[in-house]
Amino acid sequence: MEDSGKSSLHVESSAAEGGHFKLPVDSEQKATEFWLFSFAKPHMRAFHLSWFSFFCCFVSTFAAPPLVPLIRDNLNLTTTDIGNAGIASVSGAVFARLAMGTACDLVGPRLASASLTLLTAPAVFFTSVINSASSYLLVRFFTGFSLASFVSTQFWMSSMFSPPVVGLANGIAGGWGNLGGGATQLIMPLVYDLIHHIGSTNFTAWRIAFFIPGFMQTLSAIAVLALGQDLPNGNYRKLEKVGDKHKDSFRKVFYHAVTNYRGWILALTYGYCFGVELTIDNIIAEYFYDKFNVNLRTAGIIGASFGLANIISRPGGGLLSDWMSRRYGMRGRLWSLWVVQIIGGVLCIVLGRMNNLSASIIVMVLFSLFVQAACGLTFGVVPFVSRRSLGMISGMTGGGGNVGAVITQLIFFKGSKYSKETGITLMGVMILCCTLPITLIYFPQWGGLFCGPRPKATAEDYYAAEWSEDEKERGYHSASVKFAENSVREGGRRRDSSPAVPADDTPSHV
Amino acid sequence: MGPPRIFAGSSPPSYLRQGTTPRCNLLHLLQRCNTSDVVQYTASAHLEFTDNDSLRKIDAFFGRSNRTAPSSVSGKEDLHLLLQQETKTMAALLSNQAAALLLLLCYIGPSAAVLFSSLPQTLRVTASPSPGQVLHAGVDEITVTWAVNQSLTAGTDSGYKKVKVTLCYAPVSQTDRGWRKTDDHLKKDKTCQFKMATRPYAANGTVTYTVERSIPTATFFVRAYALDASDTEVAYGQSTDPKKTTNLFDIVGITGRHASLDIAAACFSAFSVVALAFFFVVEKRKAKK
Repeated sequence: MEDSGKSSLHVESSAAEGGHFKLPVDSEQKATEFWLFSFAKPHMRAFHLSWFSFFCCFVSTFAAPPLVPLIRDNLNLTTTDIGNAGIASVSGAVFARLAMGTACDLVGPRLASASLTLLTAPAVFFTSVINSASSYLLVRFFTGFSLASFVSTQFWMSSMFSPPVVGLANGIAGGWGNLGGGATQLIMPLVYDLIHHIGSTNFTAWRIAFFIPGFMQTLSAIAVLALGQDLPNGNYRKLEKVGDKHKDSFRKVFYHAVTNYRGWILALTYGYCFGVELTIDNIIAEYFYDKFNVNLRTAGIIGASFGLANIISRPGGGLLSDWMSRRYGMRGRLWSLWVVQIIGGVLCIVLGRMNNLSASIIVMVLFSLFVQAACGLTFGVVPFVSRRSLGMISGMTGGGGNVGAVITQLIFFKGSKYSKETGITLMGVMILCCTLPITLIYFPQWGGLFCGPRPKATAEDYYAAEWSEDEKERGYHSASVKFAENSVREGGRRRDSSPAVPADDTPSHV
Repeated sequence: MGPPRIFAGSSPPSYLRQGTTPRCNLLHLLQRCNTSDVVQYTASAHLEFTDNDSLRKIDAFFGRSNRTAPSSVSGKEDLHLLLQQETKTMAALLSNQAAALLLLLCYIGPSAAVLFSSLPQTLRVTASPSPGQVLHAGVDEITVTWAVNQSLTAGTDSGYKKVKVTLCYAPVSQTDRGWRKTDDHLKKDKTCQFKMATRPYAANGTVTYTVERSIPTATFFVRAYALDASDTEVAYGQSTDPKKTTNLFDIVGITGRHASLDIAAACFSAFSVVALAFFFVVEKRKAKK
């Protein structure tokens, strides 16, 4: 076919330049290895820029909860005001994440994430001038939009890293970003104490403290713009100009995202691992403070440790996903996701029943490990659901996470219908119920939880099906074809029927 | 003749309650104490002895000759001295200090259980703000006057060593705010979060307090606690009625905002947006080349 002839020309010419990457790469120039301590351009540099800017967004979004004891007195807030602001802080990102997915597909993750981060930074700076419950709610709502940079992080990692390591890359980037939710519970009180010590009154000191997350956000976004690039061989705008990348249409991208049922199922299940994580971020310190009568600082440290577990748990999930894939392919990824999230649900039920402080802390830490690993495992599967609409599927899944947080807080943690411990137990039951749909996910070429793959289905067919014949003739789908080849390992070790394409060599049969 | 009756500000261990001890001398009670009780008790207790042996001992100790009521011992110091006396006259198994500590701690109940409802309202407290007056933090002053209620028997205030005057939230500022909740256990109670002053006890007293800049906007009243030597509340008085509806005043806290903060916030926000626009323009130019 002529168009594949064209693509093979492309492939060869870029292979000639392929030598200038520090890391080994595959036919799409995506890195096949992950070197954590390197800043090599463009892959590892993109990794560090994206996880750090996402970390800053998390720090800003959850900067208010540790300072609430001061803010509530300064602004004369009631428990209802605080609860509503907490829900608002995670609900803004629901639609922002969807929009972000589309933006990534259309303008690239670098511009999309930097724009979001720079446009939400004013909300963080203006937190220092609020003086009422409604202005508090508004700044938390707009700051919460920045959580959508999660989608650009995952999209960017999926564009820079090859299937064998994409789970790990996504897991660490996501996990170290989520870390911000825990780190902020330590950072903000520390910054406040420092400023208060220097001489400000308490009601001024907390306001000054908010400039720190604001600075961090602005600076990290500028770094992304100045130092990052969208794809291994350049930025979207430039590539589109040259013709290397086809500028896709929003309508088509949208259509292929919403008609893929796997995206919806993953959105639901992500709502019950990540959504649960966000809910716990908002309520856990208060839970320990009230139930076990620890002081506020201890409660804050316990709460922070829940978020800090992300440093290993989410990457651990990504690593597990990749490891399972090496042995069992996509079915391994799906099984490990299901089992880990079920265990997370069981631990959540147990957490609500613990009446002893140390047992409660132990269960909470275990719970955090499993629930965050489930988040990492989810994004080990997401890059394979769609290639054309990768951004939008990532956005849907990410948005689903926030929807889960909103719904859970509304049902179980608003007002005093349920005590907090009953709420936690019921949340665990809901996790179990909402994890069941994973059993329905089925990839024709790789199988599902309970069914094997269809004999003649190939990854190429699956990804090429997203393009019309007309588009295929024009070669728009070449990126999907390359991706399909590189995903051949998702068939698992036993399926050696596909031509074994070594990940870092140019495929010769194209 | 029976075991000593014990009136403690809190609930004592079971073997000290009425009727549970077969014999009623101090040594026996001391021997029954175990060290796990040591860490809990710091409130004071009042013991009435009704058996002849103890009556004689108490009387001899306090130098009382005519007895009109059963002999009694109250307060921590008296119990301490009593034990010292007791251990001199018998072969002590424990050192004086340890025994004193044990006795001290065994006879008196857990401090966590000092209940507000058990405190007598023996002080009359008046605060200078008129009902509904609005005060400003950092600027206005409150003058609080307290006096012991004259109609009570003399000697009620023998245990009072200090007076602690506090600023307390009125119910209207407590609704839907769990962190200001009133709890009968004084250690858990969050009604009175601001200490205005602590003075050594006198039957009458006045303090003047400038409202600090850390006081939030809310409705308040004033309460004064009488503390004993161990800083435990033993009595109180407040400027409002028991339902906390009269004589309340408002305080308006500082906003904490400054013009410089407003300007800084605006500048940095503008900088962020301008930086984004700058990079967009640069991108477009690069793509055109």
